[in-house]
Formats: sequence, C-alpha cells, structure tokens
Amino acid sequence: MLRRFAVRSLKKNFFPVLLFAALAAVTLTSEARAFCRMRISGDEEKSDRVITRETCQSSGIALYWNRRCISYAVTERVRVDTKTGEILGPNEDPPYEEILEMVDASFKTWTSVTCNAQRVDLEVKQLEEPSECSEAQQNLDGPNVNSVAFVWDWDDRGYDDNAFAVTSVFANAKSGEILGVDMELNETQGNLGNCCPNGPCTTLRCSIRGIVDIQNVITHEAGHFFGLGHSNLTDATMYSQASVGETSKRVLKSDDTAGLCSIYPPGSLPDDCNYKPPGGLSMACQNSNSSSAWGCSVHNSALSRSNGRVAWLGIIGLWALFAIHRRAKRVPPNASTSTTGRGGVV
Amino acid sequence: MKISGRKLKRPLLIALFGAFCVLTTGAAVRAATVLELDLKQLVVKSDYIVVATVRGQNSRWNKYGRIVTDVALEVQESLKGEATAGERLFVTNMGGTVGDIAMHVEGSPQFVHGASMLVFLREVPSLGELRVVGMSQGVLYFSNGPYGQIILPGGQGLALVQTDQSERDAVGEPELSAPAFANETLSEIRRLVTELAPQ
Repeated sequence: MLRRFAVRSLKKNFFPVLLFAALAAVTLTSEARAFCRMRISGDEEKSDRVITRETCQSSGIALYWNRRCISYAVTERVRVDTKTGEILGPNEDPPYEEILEMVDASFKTWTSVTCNAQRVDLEVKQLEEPSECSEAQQNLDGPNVNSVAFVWDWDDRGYDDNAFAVTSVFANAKSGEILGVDMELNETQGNLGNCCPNGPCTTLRCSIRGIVDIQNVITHEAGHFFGLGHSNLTDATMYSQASVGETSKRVLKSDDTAGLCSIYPPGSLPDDCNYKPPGGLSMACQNSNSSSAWGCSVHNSALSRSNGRVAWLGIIGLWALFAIHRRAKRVPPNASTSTTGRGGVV
Repeated sequence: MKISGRKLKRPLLIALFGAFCVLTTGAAVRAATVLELDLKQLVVKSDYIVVATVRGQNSRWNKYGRIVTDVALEVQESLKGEATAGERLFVTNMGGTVGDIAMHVEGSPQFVHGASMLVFLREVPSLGELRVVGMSQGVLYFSNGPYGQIILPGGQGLALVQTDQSERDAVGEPELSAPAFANETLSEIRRLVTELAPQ
C-alpha cells in the first residue's frame, strides 16, 4: 500500500522531484567542492573570467613537479629590533634544530601519503646547511635553492600584513612544470612557535599567547609547494583560513591526500633522482644588486648594516691608534707617557 | 472541489525554490567566516580606494629576482586618496608570466582586462609602488544582477590570519563576504572615509 502510494506520488510529482534532485545535486556538489590545483593562465586565456572566492580555477595550466627528488633549505631565524632593523641575535625560541624538525615533518606528512596503497613517488630532502637567501627568486641561468625563509621586512616586500606566509612558485609557463618554490614566513605577524612541544598539542595555550604554530603553517604551504591550491572544505589542511594556535593542519585529511594523488599518481614521475635544482645548487641569493640595495632579506640587509657599523668602528679605531702612535712619537723619551693630563703628553 | 495538478505543482515548485535558496544562502553564510578584513579595516589600510577599469598589464622581472605585473587602472571614481576620474594608477601585483617563466603567488589578485572593479590600494614607500590591500581581498568585481549592480566579494586563494572574533564583534562593521548591492557598499565606504578622516 505504502509502496503503491509512493510510486503514484512519484509519478504525479515526477517533474518537481527531478527538479529538486537536480537542485540538491548542484547545491551539494558546490558545498563538497574539494581540492583545487594551482594554475597559471595561459597567454591565450589570460584573465578571461573573474575568479571569486567560491570558485576553483579550472582553466589554465596546472602546476606540478616533474621530478621525483626535490630539496630545500631553511634560513636561520633572528630577533630583530623592528624600529631600527638591527639584529638583536639568533632567535632560539624554538631552537633552529626544532624548527628543522617541524619543517621536515611538514614535508614528510605529504611525502608519506599513499595512493591506492602505494606511497607517492615524491622524495623531499632537507639540506643540512641553512639557506642564506630569504628572497623569493629564481635564477634562470644558474643555481638555485628552494628556501623556507623567516622574514622580518614583510611590509617592505609588499605583502599583506595579515598573511602568515607567502609561497611563490616559479614554473614553466607553457607546461606548468615547477622549477622552484620559495616559502616566506611572516615574522611580524606574531610569535611563530611550536604548539606541540614534546607530545600533545596545546592549542589553547598557543591561542592565549598568540603563538602561530610553524608546522601548521608549513604543512599548508607545503601543499602549495607541491602544486595544490586551496580547498573549500573547512577541515582540510589546504583550507584557506587558519587561526592563531591552530594545529589541525599538521595532519592531512582525505581531501588533501586525494589532491596530491591526483597530481602525482604512483609511477607518474621519472625514476631518476637528483636533489639539485636544474641549474645546480646555491645557498646564496643570486641577485647581487639586491644585496646592495636591499639585501637578500632583512636578515642579510640588517647583517650588512651591522657589518657596516663594525667596519666604521674599525676605521675609527685604526685612526685613533694611528693618532696615538704619532703623538707618542713626539713625546720625548724622558717625558711622562701618562695621557691623563695634557701637559704630560705635550 | 477538485484542485488541478497544475495548481498543486506551483506551490510545490515555489517551496522547492525556497528550499534551494535557503541551502544556497547557507553556503554563502558559511563562506563569510573566511573573510579576514572587514570593510572598515580595508578602508583604514588603504591610501587609495577607487572604482576603476583595467586598461592594461605587463609582467616583468623586478630587481629582486621576482616576477611582478604592473596593472594600469583607469579611475572612474575615487573614494579615498588623491586620484581623479580618468587618471591612470599603476598597481604592482605579485606574480605573472615573462617569456617561458611564470611566477604564481596563491592569493594574489587577478585583474581582468576591461572589467570594472572596486580596488583598495596602499603605497609601499620602500618599493615606490602601489599594492592591493589584503591581496585578493582588496579587489572586488562589479556584476549586473537582476535588481541592480552588485559587488562580488574578493579573497580568492588567500591564506590569512583569522581576525580575532571579539575584536570583530566590537567593530561590528559589515563584511564583504557575500555579494552586496554596489550602491550600498559604495555609500558605506564614503561614510567610513568621512568618519575616519583626520579632523
């Protein structure tokens, strides 16, 4: 009886039901829109439509690495007097070794993903030597380094002061093959730190103290490193929003792993493994002009400023020594060498 | 009394449409939580606020080894700052393509040639450049809706710090999280510019 009623009802309301199903499908699909790949616009379709926050760019050339083995280096952190730009010393909170561990863990979170029970082919190696270049730049004719850089002159670089980090991806404009990636982390935003030291995460403690979890940020940025854009799923690591003290992005969600597997299905990358960038490896900035005008970063420019001060002090010191030496020469051998009174030396 | 099937279908369709609207609006409300800068913050951080049209863009390597794109904006209306209608402002945007090399920065605004938009700009004195405030949050496109011109929220591709909720509640300004009527938004911006102007 119930079944007959249902069938009759369905027959009567076939069109509205069909319409509702279609609308529901559209709505649900838009809500469940998942991972998104980073794309660049091809010349022929440059800026052909408005991309809003809700849309994932589906046209254009998708970005991807076409190499199995990739390396990166991390810059050392310093404390800077934000008013003078002077380096106050190394930032050991947390220690550099701990930062290296967090960054390494962030990348390993991605490279340990399994796609259909097979581990993704990507191998990412952290270089032992610190990167000396915190600029996002690409040397076309020579060596490069993929840098994870901690940046103080955030505003001078024209970045938005609300951003945790900016990841710049250099790619072949025709194929979309990624050539290099630099990650810049905003030191001026707040206290970058470790919200999960020695065990369970202390999100609340971090939130209260305004600490931004480095591993949380870098795991998200590493998604961009591999060519993923933002996901609309709020619990995904690649979701566009993060908050102070958040640690949930340290762990990938199914949407994130599906995104990575779609770009790098097992067996899709070349077998050969070379960790050096295509033009070779160099830890220093390539643009020599920048070091004179601005430096590789505030880190280096502040260093060069302090080096400049040291040089001036040295010159003044030498001049003083020279002057004393000359005055000493004029002093008769039997005169007092005391410098406490004018009469003594003249 | 017999009611025809046609009459029955109409309220059902309206109800279904209503349900669809509720579902769709629900999605938009959820999207509102991702907005980081409200209108007041955008106004405060801007040196220039203009309604403008993109007239051209050219990518280049800058002296720091990055690719940037210079965007020529023709001002239609100036809401803040010393720009006049018809004047061109040149905005520098991170990323672009030069020859075979592209540099992509997720969250950088996209400029559509010939499109009209509301742009929030700030001067970066150290670079001698104009940049968009809040990256893609500071570029809002106009679109023609059935009830007039609407303004679309920006913020594509961003990963920003979430504004403290208590602070936002205290500010209480409307957020550009969903399409809004252009004339209302522009009026609100004018009001904020006047209110925030130094006395």
